[in-house]
Amino acid sequence: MTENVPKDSPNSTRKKKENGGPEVAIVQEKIQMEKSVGLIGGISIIVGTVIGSGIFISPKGVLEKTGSVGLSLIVWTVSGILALMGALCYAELGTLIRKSGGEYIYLKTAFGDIPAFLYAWTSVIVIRTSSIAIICLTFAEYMGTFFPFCGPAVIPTKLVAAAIIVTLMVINCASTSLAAKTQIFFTGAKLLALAIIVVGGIVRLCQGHVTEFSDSFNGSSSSASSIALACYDALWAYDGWNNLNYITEELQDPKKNLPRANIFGVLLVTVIYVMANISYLTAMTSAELLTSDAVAVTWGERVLGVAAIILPLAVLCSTFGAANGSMFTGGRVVYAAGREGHLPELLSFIQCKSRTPLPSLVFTTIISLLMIIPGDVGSLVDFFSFTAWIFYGSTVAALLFLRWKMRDAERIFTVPIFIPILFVLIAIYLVIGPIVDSPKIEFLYALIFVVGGLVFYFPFVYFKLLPNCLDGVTTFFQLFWEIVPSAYEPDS
Amino acid sequence: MSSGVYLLSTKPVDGKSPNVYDNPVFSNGGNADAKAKFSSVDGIDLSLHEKPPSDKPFRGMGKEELLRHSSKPFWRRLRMICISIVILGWIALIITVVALVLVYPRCRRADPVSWWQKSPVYRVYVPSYMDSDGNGWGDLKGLESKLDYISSMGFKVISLSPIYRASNYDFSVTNHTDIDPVFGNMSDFTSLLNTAHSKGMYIVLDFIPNQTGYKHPWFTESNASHDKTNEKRNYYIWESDDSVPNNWLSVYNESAWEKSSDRENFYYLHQFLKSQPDLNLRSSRVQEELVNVLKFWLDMGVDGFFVRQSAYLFEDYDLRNETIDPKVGSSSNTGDYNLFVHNYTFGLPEAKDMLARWRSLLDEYNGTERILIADIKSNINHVMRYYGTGRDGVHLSLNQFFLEINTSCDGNCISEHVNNWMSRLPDGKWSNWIVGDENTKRLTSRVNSTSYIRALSMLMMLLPGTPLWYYGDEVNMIDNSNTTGVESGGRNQLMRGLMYWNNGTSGGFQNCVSNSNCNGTWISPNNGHINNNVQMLNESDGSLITFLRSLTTLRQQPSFEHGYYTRVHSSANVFAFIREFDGEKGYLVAINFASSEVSGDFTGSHDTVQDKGAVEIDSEFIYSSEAEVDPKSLKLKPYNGIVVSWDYKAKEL
Repeated sequence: MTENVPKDSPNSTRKKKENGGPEVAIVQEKIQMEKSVGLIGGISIIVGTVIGSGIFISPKGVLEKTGSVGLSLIVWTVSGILALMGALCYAELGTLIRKSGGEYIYLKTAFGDIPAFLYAWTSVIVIRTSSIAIICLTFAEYMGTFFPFCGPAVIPTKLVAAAIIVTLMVINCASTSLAAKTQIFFTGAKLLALAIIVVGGIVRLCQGHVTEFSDSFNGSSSSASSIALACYDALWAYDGWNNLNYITEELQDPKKNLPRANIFGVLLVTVIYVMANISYLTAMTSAELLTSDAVAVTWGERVLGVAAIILPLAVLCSTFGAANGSMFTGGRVVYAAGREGHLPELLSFIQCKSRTPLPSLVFTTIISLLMIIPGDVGSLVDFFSFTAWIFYGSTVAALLFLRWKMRDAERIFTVPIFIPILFVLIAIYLVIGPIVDSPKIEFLYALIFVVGGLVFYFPFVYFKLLPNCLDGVTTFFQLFWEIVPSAYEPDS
Repeated sequence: MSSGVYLLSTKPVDGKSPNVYDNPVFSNGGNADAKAKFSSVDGIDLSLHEKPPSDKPFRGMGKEELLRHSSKPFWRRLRMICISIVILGWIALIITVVALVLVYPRCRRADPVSWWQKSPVYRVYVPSYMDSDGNGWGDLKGLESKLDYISSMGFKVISLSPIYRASNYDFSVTNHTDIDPVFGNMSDFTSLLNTAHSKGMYIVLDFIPNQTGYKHPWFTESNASHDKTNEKRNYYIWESDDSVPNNWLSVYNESAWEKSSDRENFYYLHQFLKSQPDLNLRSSRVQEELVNVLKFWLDMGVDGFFVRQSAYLFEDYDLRNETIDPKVGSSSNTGDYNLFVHNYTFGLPEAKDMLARWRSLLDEYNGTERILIADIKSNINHVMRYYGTGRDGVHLSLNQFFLEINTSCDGNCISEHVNNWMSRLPDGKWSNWIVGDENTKRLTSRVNSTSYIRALSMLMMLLPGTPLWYYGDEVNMIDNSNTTGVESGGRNQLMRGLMYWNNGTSGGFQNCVSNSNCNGTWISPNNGHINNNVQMLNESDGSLITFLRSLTTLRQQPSFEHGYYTRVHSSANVFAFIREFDGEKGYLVAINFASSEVSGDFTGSHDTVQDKGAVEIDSEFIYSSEAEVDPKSLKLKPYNGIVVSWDYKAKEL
């Protein structure tokens, strides 16, 4: 397909003729990433990364904080709607600015280099990489429970996590479409397991196992702050609804598929979360749900009998799929920032044969592997999680700003203005809420880290004080990995 | 799919005009860095002139250019090597994981723990516990009605004081296989036993093999047997003599020999009261009779026996005189039991053999494990011998050394007590701890500090072994005054007061509403029940009952149930130990037995202690439960015990 060169392409060499130079006979193939993700692939990426292991292992934070079954189901639904609002806003942004890189590219377009750089810096160094590390560690920990270790087996767990990360890197480096197929497969497996849970729940509802739903608002928490905390918990379960925006350029027909996948993916997740929670409560009391360490497995033992063995496998599939999705999209911020000159340009090159963003994947992998080494990545994430909402909020604020700044641009998809406004307000609350709730000095450290990115921005990006040997390094890696620059090509 | 065409090559068609170079990649808006270097045609021009493009690769080269260079053998080989390294590394990683999974340490398997090791024992003096029928005596029905209370405190094993048909004294048994009418009847007993079993509780009975009451039919027949062929003739220890056969004394300081009223010139031996002749356990018939008694109760479903006075079972066959203990000295009062060395009447090795036989009888019985408990007031090595080796000893040889403890026993003293016991306990044997029984001054009267009592309770409940708790200590029962039985071996003794159920008449011991005519109680109530009773304290925060409940609950954690014990600190103030087991939470129990506050690190730099711990129990209720603390830095109030837990951390290879 790449040989099919449009003669009148604006990038064609012929325009050079106007300069009077000799005609260039060798036309260079333009290297871009494959558009290998269709609608199904897109939904798989959203559903596959949003649904990790939480819904199978311990979906209890919400129930615990709301105090009643009825209220907890409402919180699950409301949080799903909030995530949907976010997904709608991102659909507008993604169809307006059809570049890969998600928040990074939208912040850059709206607010300029500094916010975009700080986002890329925080995301690449901490948020995305630690989330890959944590998902893989969760996978390894869950696998560890199949073996009779004495206490948490730290080293085997870390090695399994490392093996998973390397495996994912190999898959993603080999071919984008292989990675997309992997994603579809594992998402399918997890949806199958969830479908069994949902259908099982419906059957049990029909059989009359409804005791947990009578008087279901009894014991509801009346404290606004604990309901807010419950929402916060639930929103984390929905985190990942923005993932498709990182790979806009690899999406087939993004104008149609991005909004569709965003909306359908988040709706699907919302329905699944609510239904799975209902299903669990048909097989166990809410008190049992709160104390169970493996809710889906407990459910399976009671409802499926011997067939319950599929559920631990489903948990592993689900976690692996989430890790693959994170790896797939996680490397793209590095790629986009490299292409925009905010990170070494080498990171934006793509492998000319497999057309995968090899350098950015390797870079992400290395940082993720480093994340596994220290004792407790989880606490790192706890203190950076609020920064994610800073960026979500800023990105949706960028949407509002772009309504003015790019008022003449063609908008394929437009959300009602109240949605982004409401979303920004909620994001502000979600940033401030947990800090007010339990102020800790670590939040300040996290903020200092984010702003600390400027220490690199000014010398290396703004003043371009780069050592010359970088050229040699870039050349070396180009030859070594057979990677070439890739350009953003606006689709017509 | 769409694709564009880029002119990325710098190779001019005619080889002369390299400045036709155009690289849209680097003129892409936003890439300031690239622009700086590449959008200037001059710059490119210069570099390309100097280095013929076909020879040298350069930064940002396009696919054609790149492939021409990168397909050279050097790069191919380098790539192959690198790919091989990645693949080999990946395989090595997988192999390492598999290998680690195979060799990674598994938890050591815990020895199975039986019911009598899991639950602490609640010792009840039946006549004083609960009177259901108003006859003035505590009875089996009364006890049955209180099983839930006992169970709620975490005691699943109840040890009953003697309930056999007897005359006046607990030990003057006249029928080993019947219930004394003051306590109820046999159906009351089966009902108690069945109810207890249905509640997951266990009943242990006292067993009195050393003597019977002189009104026992065996003794009546033995005493009257002039016929040498009478098989009961030798059921007791008879000696034909003109005067007392030797200088042995009873524990009540009289001659241990009493002349028969019937058998001429015969004396019978009684190590206790005159009315309690000693059985002759050397007689195989007596042994058989006693085995039948045990079988009777075992068939009924009794879960074990507390063998009373087990050290007195045998006496010297040759009836040799005992000598005066040189350590006691003065020979002036030869009527003093304590003056003599009782090597011919006390603790003879035959007694241990007898216990071994009973043990094997119990072991042969199917169903739940049945246990033997024995008491021997002697030196610690002697006490330990009763544990035997393997299965030839008793399950619990009672540790009566804690009965001496009072508030003057500080950290060092406690440490010595615990260490004396733990260091001598034979391998594989199960320890036990007692702070009150029916022959010792009441805990509250002895110790007189509720803080110290809580500290002591914490110690006995959390050390390895089975604690035995004496009824009433949980409601701070005090000694009775006006008691009469101490010197004469009678029932009415100061530590056997009526249970404090509520603040009503006789502390709720009698249910006089449903029994309109209540008799007077057999022992006069003391007034301690007015301020301390079960009704008041059962649910009250900070009461000893509530505190015991938290201890018996904690005691069920694997680390306490079958974990290791390590003493980590002992000083004049604090005694501290660690309980832990593979894969389970670890616990530091640090108790200040001094009357001054103290703080510091009481972990003795034990290597498994973690930096983050959670308070499980604070006997002074200062730390809130679950409060996060550093186990290596604790502050202990006077007589304050604190339990801190931490999550298990696997030892790395």
